[in-house]
Amino acid sequence: MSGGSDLFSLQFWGVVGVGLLLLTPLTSGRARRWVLALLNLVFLVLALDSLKRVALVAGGLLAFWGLLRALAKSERGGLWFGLSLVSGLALMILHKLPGLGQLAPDPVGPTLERLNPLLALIGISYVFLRSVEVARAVWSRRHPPPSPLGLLNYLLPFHMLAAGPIQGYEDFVEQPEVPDAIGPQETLNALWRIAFGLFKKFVVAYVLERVFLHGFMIRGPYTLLEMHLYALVVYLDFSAYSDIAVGVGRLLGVRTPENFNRPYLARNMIDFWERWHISLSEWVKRNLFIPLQLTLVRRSGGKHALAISSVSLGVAFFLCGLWHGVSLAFFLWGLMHGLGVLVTNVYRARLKKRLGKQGVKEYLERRGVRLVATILTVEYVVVSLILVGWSWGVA
Amino acid sequence: MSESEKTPEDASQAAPATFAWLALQTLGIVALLVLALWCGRQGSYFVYQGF
Repeated sequence: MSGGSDLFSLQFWGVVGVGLLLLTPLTSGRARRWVLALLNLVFLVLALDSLKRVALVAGGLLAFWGLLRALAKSERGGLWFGLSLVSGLALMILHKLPGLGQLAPDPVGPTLERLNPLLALIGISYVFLRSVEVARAVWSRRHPPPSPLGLLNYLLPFHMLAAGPIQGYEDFVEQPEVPDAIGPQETLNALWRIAFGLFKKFVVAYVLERVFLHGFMIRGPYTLLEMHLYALVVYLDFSAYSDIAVGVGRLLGVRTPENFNRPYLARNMIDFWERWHISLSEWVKRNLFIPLQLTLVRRSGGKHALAISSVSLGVAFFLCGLWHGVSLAFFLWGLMHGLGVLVTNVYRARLKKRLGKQGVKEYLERRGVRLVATILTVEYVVVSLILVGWSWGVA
Repeated sequence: MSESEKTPEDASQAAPATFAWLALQTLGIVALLVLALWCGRQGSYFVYQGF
């Protein structure tokens, strides 16, 4: 990826620097909103590198804002919600299925093809998830539709643009308009996060990648080593991006959710998703798992609670796999993770039934059990990540 | 000793250590940044970026 969304670009750090200078002295929430919107807009202009593209994104944003207004006012909110969901999904499918434009006739096909790099630059996968959050909040009357400025700041925050984290809409609305001033230690903590993120990505992951990863060309036991190191590199790389986003967010006083919590210490697949890409799994919980579970519980009249929660978890995380990419590899990856959380849920319930609440607690506290569970979980994830590598052309 | 139990004397004794600690952290940050900048000269691509 080139242009302003590159974290090594002067544009990115320039916007961070200007943001610090402008935002730090501000004590008015309204002024902060305007300055943040201006920063996000300037970053978009730099990243997209074409006024035509910026106009297209701005047009899309205004159209979505109009949809949200209609959603709030109309009695038939479901229709507008469906319309916004379908248009968002259409953009996602267009992005996730490269070459789709080639199937359409001229001039529609080439136009669609040109749209794809633009969708990548604005991080459409993340924008789509945020759009669903805000549309659901407005549809369920939990919140009024945001202003165009608020919508820009929520959907396209420059430091979370390319790879998240995905902030919940509630979290965005509830953050203080003017954050507390941060002291020297907090400033240094934020700078540590940024520096550590850059170090993780550009030194540790870079060295591991250069020295040990060979595209799985070396057969034999080395493949096993490479599989594990590949999983480590993916973690270092992705968590580094989140570290930088969280650090920048702290400096600018913009709430930025944590995304990782030592995921390779997880002891089962549910625990893993509570530690890996946390903002995505929270999104999946809020927007897929809970609605699906509630619907199934209503339909079944409250029966089969375990089966319903397990199936809901499985389906939600399978769809989460498909969000990453529409391909056989991500289908299998989603299936693995969906099955993983489903089996964990059933196993936990069975264990509780057999040993009782206290018994389960004692059982899980045993060192040997913990070790075996952690190893099994990590190995399961390592195998699933090979599918991701396969899809990305690494494995 | 909890924060509320600390006397002003304790606080003044802690101040130089805090300053040294802040300076040390700043140095650490600079060192990490220099290393990252040196290794990352060839450009950056995050696996999850814009996918």
